[in-house]
Amino acid sequence: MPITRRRFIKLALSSAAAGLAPAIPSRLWAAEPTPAAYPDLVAVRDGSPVRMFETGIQALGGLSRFVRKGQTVLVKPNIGWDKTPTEGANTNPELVGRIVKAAYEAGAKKVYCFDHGVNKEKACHKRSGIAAAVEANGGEMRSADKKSHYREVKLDGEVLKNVLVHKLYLDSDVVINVPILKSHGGGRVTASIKNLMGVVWDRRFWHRHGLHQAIGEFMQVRKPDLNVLDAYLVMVNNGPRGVSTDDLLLKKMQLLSPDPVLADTAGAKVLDVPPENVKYLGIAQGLKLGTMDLKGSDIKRISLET
Amino acid sequence: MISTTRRRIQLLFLLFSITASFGLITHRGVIAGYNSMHVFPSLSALFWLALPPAIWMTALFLLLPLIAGRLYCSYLCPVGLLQDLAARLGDKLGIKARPVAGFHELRILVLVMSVGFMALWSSTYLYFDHFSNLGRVYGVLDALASGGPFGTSFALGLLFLGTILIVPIFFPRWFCAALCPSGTLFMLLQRWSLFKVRINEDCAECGLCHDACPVRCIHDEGIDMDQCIACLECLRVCPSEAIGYNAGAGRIGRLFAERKPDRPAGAAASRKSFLKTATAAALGAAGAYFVKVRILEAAPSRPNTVVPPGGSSWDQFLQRCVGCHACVNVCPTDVLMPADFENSALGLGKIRMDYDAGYCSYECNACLSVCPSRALSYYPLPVKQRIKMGSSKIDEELCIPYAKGKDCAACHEQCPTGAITMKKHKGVFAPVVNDDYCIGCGACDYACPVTPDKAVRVTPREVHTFAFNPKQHGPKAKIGEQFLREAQDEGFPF
Repeated sequence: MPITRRRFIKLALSSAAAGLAPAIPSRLWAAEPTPAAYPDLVAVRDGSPVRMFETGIQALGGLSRFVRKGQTVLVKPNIGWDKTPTEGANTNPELVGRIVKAAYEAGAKKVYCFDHGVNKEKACHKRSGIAAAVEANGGEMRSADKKSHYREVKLDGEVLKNVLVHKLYLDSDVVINVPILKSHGGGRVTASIKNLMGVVWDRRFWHRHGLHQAIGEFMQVRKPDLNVLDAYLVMVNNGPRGVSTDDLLLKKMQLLSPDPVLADTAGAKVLDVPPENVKYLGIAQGLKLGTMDLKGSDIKRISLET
Repeated sequence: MISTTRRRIQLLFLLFSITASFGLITHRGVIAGYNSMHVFPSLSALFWLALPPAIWMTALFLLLPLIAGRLYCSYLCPVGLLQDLAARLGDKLGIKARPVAGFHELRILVLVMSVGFMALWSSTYLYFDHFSNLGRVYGVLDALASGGPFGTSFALGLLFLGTILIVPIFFPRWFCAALCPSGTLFMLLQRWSLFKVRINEDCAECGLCHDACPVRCIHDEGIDMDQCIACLECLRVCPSEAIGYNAGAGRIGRLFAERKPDRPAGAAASRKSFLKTATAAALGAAGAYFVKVRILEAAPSRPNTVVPPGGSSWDQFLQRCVGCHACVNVCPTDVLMPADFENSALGLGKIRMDYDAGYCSYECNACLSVCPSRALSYYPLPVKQRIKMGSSKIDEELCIPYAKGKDCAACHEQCPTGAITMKKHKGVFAPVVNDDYCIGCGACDYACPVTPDKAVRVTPREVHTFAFNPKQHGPKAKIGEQFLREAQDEGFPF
């Protein structure tokens, strides 16, 4: 991502802090193990979304691996639809609330949440139950329906040259992507990478000029630090909006990974869609934004028996 | 001096009126109650054998002038308040306010014509009705705040705003005294009012009440009850308690109160005045008949835009809509817009659906719940979700998957009923519309990324029908036959 003035100042300050590091007792640093010790993907099943998150994030090394003290965190769920939690179109609100809480527990200074959805923002925030869950845990809902919330980013993509990206996505220290797994008429599957369409201003441009290419190359702007793919109530048909609850299947799963491409590849398998049919995954892998190689990745599978 | 109590109540009601009109109050019952207070569009629903959203409110405000006089006009009406404020400005500028009397025949003509329009199933009285006009005035504010549209409705609203802000500087409350059909109706009802303002024999003729009266209806001869709006300002200023507001005063008081200052006494004069009034009424009725039957019914009318939900049919919607824009102001997606000439001159100042500006939200029936004239009949949400207003048509020459061989699905993404499904077409998925489920909500039309001409458009239906219920007949889930069936597999598929 581009170096903005804010990031520069933060960088300068943190370098200064690093200079002071020897003065800080060493046990604060000793708790930090090497990143290689963690699995690439944690797949959890047969628990409530909250419990699966608590277990899964533990296996990934705890949220403090991603969120440091005093950082600002963006939690980006899918709040695109004026629908209730039982209709499976938006991310589970309890899961979002728990992640906000966990971010504060890890020492976050401030946790924000927004989504540039499809339906009217006010209605979506309310009906999805996400605004209430975020605010109950001390997070702040932000608006994304005005052009002034966005900043232009230059990108050397095949389709994307100038993208208006939400300022919070660019400026937050940590981005936690919390999509919900659904089928999709255009993208075949919507999960982590497709969920990032909710941080850009002009989504019609993507549809117009090549949906797969745009989705695939957008993460060159910035990759989410952590992806928590909600696959509890999965829309297997008629996604992403869904017609009725007949389209839903109770899969009771959750996929956690710092690699959105890997999480989505596993998600496609959950939806019974061959990952190679999801063109944007191949494009993202080609741009070295992640891997589709499930066999070669270290996957930790956890089954929560009751 | 103006009574601050009255001004405060007026301002409070203006605030309430604005919050109710702009959807800041979200309680549908409160909005419906506010709309139903206004007898004109509300009573018109009765001629359709329909009830206004809150009939008890309409009844209450018809009963009020029979008991206490025109309290609505003096203490609540925002149009009255704006005129009062303008008159106060005139007062400050030293302009001598003159009473608006002598329009008796005109206001009877307007009232009879308006009632005639209602009885003949036409909403053409919308140009006189203060509530419709007020709605368009709020529309002016809305347009200024959101940058348009600046069409005919805007012009009508601006014109009305101008007349109630400028003319009253010279002629206070001229609209109430010369045109307002509700005001005239209340004036007639006030004649039988139990409580009235009356001057008794203690009057020292000091003239303070004349100066305090906001409509200048107190003269040397007494009170002109046709103009009196029962604001009770005169009571407040009278130093000798010579003015009362009570149920039947003494004989002398009655004499003072009932005398009409601008009409000569005598049987001949009374007959002459009755004949004039009767002529005005006859002219009003004839005018309503002529305009409705000879002009409006003869004019060709065809919907070019989708008739809003609950509108039932193009003709019915057109005949009922008074253009008060209550629905426009509560619409969360901005799909409801003031209409210009899109639907011929008949649709002027009424409303239309603009699928370039928004789409009709599947989870919303706000417009149906607030419409005072029942131009949009109320349906509960599950029924409204089935109303078929139009049909989506895909133009395969423009549509991205068909024309360019790329995945898109922007329309399928939005379709709330599953009418649009994606079918394999040369290696990509392309949209197909099943008209049985399409309700014409325009979600696909609004979302379509193709410019300048959209690849999917909604064709309006002249008469609404109902679409199939996707929950009963719609495409079934591939996996699982039952509601929320649990996946049966063990372990992970990877």
